[in-house]
Amino acid sequence: MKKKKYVDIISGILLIALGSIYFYSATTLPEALTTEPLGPAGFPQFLAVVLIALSLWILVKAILDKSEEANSATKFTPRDIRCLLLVIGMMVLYVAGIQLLGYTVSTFLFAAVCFCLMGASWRKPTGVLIPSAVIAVVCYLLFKVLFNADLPRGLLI
Amino acid sequence: MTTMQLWGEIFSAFSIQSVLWVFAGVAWGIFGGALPGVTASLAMSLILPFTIALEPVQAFMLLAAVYVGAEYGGSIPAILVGVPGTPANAPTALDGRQMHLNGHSGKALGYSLTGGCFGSFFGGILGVFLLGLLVKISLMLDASAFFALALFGLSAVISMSKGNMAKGFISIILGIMLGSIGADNFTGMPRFTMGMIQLGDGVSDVPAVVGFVAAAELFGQIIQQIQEKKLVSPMLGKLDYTFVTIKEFLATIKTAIVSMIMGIVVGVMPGAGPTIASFIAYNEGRRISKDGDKFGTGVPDAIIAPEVANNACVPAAVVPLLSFGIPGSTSAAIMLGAMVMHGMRPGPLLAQNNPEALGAVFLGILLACPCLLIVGRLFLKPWVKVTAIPPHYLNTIILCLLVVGSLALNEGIFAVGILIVCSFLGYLMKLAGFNPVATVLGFVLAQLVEDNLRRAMLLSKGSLMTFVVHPITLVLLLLTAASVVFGLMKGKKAKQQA
Repeated sequence: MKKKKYVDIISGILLIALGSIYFYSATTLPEALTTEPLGPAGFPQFLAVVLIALSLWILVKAILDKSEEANSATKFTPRDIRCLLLVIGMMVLYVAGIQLLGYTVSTFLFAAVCFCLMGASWRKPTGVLIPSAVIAVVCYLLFKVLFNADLPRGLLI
Repeated sequence: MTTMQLWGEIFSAFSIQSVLWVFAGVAWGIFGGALPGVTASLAMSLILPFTIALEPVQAFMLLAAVYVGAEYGGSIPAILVGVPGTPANAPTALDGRQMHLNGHSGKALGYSLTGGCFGSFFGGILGVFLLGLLVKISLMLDASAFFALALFGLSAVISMSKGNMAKGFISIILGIMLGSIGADNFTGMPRFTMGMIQLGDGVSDVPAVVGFVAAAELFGQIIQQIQEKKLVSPMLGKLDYTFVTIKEFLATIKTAIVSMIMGIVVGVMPGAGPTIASFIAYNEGRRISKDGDKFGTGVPDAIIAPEVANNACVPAAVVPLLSFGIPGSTSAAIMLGAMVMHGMRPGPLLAQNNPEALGAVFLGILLACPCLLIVGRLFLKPWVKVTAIPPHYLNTIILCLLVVGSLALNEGIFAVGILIVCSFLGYLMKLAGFNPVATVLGFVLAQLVEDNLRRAMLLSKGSLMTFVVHPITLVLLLLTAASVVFGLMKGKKAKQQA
């Protein structure tokens, strides 16, 4: 994804697909009551049509755009996308960990991994392990004990 | 509800407990605002789960106080390191930073603090009168007018979104589509739930709003931090903490009053918010100040103008929320989430059904001003230290708080799933030039838009003339069209200049 216009082309295609799925889902909704002119599907269908039209506009404009600006490189790099996927992947693993290991243990692990990913060194464990433990315990005590929140226990604690 | 009744509600909400919650809210607000990258809305989102355990009145007071505190807190890093804590403090970074470099750090922070207190307090008093008026007007509006009002609110967001208007429209539509998930209010039938029982009541407000708000702000910083691995915080050196005197503040009173009025006017407009108010007030301050030509070199008026304006926006932004159910800013949208969480529905009936909520929000704002002065002045040094927290610790703590905050809603792990999905989408949208904040406003206004459109159509038996025959509706629709046309023209002009 090097050129700026490619971002608009891909977003346009994805949004047209989303609009079409949304429109189709709206057509499967039950018919309106006789007294209600719009019904449950009317407004969503209207939204879908506007979304598809605007996305088509963005798509066509991007394809036809020959300007230097549109053909210049994007500000973000594939490395940014990889980092984003890494952060999302870690959060997904964290959520899975919460269900499996319980809130406290997985928060400790998640915080430790985050610290290291963002620059802290494993070689200085006090700078990683102690703050991770503090975050996990403080969050647990604050939310579970003080606010009585339903934090998952998992197999461990 | 009359203005006098509103004042009655404000006084009756007063208690020792409420003072304590406001103190706590202000302290958290200053702390959150002082953290670079943590906006007022993010500071409010992070504390939102705490408010479940509180009485609604205390919860709203706490959130209002966080809002006031954060708008000031953001000026601390703006002045000391030149990085605004919240976007609304960006103009403060210009002259505040310069005054700090001239060796008057305490004075720069003092002008920002006193300006913030002035803006919120007197803005709050004016806000009460404005709210009293708008509550009366809101009861006169019918379904078609509410539909037009919601559209006007949404159009204001689009016209203010930079660059591509089509992307602004799409961002809003995506928000409304997200808001349409769940049981249909008219028939009770589930819509777009993809067979998930958890979506039966719709997409949970708090994780969705927090996800979209947090994503745009936090993910970028985390990704940058992963790549740069910069562990050192900016060095502040030795600072002079001599505070601003009353006489010095009074010398800026003209700029303060004008900026406060601007803050209120901009803040009341849905979607405009404190950032726009700060920039407008800074420019206007340059025009009216006797030191206008010295703006940029560290003059008091240049700090007072944006800080008074962004703090005056706080009471102004909650006025349309409490009267019409339309949040004036992203932070007000978080307040809307809190009200829904406590079983209230902001809108014209809020003043009748839950008048205590209106009193609580405004008491929170008014009480927050003296608290802000006390907390901000007494603990000037600790707040300065906040800006020195290493970024890898800070980002991790915020990420953990976002997750535990969603878990604390007691909706199970599904809420965290919504948070992750919305964060991911929000960040991608921002990368592709869309506006996640517009999506949030579309999401929170979705029900208001659709329900009132359908109600208006039902009452008019399907005739579109209902949107033309009512004068208020017609005026609002014309304003909406004007707002869109103005936005289009502005975009075209900007493109020609580029």
